[in-house]
Amino acid sequence: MVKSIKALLLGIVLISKGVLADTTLLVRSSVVTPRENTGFQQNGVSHQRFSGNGIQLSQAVLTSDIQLSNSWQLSGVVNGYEDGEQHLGISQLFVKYRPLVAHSIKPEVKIGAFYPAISAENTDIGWLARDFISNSAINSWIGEELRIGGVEASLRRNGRQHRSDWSWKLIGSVFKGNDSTGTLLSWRGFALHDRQSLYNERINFAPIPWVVDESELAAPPWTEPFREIDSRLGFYLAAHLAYQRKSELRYYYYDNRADNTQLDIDRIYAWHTKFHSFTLRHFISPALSVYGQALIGDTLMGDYVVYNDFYSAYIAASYQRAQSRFSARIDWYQVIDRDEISEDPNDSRGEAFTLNYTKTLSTHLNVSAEWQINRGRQANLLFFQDTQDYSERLLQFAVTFRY
Amino acid sequence: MKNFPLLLCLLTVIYLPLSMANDYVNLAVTITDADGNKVENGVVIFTPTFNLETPPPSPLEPAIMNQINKQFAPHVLVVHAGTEVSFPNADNLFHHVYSFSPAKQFEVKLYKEFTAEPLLFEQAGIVDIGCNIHDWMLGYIVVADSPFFLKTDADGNAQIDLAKGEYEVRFWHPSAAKAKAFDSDSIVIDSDKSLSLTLDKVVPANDSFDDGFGDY
Repeated sequence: MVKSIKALLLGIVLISKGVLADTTLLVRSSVVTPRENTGFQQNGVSHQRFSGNGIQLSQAVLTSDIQLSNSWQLSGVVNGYEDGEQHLGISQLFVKYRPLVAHSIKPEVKIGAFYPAISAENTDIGWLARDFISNSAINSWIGEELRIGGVEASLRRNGRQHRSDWSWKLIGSVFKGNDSTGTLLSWRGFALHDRQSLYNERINFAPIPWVVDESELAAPPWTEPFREIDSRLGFYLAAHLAYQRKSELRYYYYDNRADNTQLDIDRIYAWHTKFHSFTLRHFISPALSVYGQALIGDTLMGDYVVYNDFYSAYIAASYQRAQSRFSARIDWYQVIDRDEISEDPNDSRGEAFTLNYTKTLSTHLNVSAEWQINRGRQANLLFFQDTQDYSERLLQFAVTFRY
Repeated sequence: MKNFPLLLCLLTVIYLPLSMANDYVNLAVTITDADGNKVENGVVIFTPTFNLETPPPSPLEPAIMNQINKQFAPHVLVVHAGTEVSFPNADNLFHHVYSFSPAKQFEVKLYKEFTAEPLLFEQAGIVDIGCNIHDWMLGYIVVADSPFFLKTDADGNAQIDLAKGEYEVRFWHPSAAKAKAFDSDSIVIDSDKSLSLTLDKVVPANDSFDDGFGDY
């Protein structure tokens, strides 16, 4: 399977390495320390992506930006994974209209399937984190449950071109196909990993008795994050403000406007999820950057069958010295159950600490080591084990090849 | 560069009669700002107030404004009006270079590792250039109405050979366009000399934190 994915990706690279396409292939292989519990992708209680140990194909990403004309660009990201329900698929595919205008305020429109530019850490190709193997709790969740299938329009003014220290961008978007977002936060809780969901992919989680019982909710122990259930449009509004190229603040308000009373033939519910997100990044020097994000939101399913508030924040620092990069991140997260259904407790909270060292060996190759501890308590774990508490340690060694 | 010896011979052949016709002297300039920091990319244009017996030759090849690592190189290019400028693209990605400045309006599509046909810059003025793909790219082409100009290096130094005589002098810097470098509008050059110029303004530090902070 892995061989066929690699062969397919390599073939696409060779075809698309034309003059008009900027194409990059990234393959990352990791050695992961042994896991004690089965991961959520195999309906286990662990918040870890991998269940087994040994060598894993953790990322195979092919990105291509193709200049269709002066103003139109087509971008796509194809991902191959060894784990999960789907091994090959598309995570992003969109066209961008960016006309050349004389006015100091310039427009841009994106149409298709893409991420909102909400994360300060996922700045590498294919929405990978530049400084870590695993994403923060916030962006692990966004990578698995949030994707925009719609239109985003923005106006921006770049300060540097107008002798100003300040740049800004205002963004609005409408989208469909993001109706079940909130499911994983409620039934699995926050997790930290680098597995992005592919289009039409389903993501498993542990089968909470009240959720899966035929006589109770009778929902499946999986979700399909980009499914359209209620035919309603969601939206987000955002503003970016930057001082020179040193500091930047981004604010996003997201509301999928899902009709929480709707469910589809697979008994997948629409979850009305909305949140505020604040992202900040700052360069202390060209070699040292700090960044962080805070997320405050809530999600509602059914007639207050599930109603949860969720919070998360992280702060990270990254220091580059010659070919070496040292990074550290602290995550906090919490889900507070506010509904009356005691058979489905959704309370969870935890924190994680991540250290990463990455060494660039050449333009095509880098190696990294990452240690992480993620611990907390989660009420619904009592259905599967003796304690609500969990403590998950992860040590990964990765080799990343890019061409 | 294989034509370098030929170029050298040509320049020598042109320069020798030139230096015989006009008596040339060397002017060394060091520019610091109001805080005493060395000023890079400071431009001084010298316009002779007298008739040159033999004007200097036009450049044989176009000037070059390259694109390297999503930045214009050089950040500031100074050319005499009537000079062609070539736009190579050393990056392995697409650039869409444009200017809306009154002195020269253009757009060039630069596919990766590609050089467009040179453009002629005839009208004197400051031409701001940008890239529609990479908002943070910014460069300047200073089109001088005189063939005599200098641009300071990272240490704030530059030098120029000038025919003896009186020149109108003008200073320009991308981050301090209105800063004054000279006490008067003209200067008499009659022998080799070194000038230390101090601007009346502080030039803001370079903001070129270009890696990893792009749009995403």
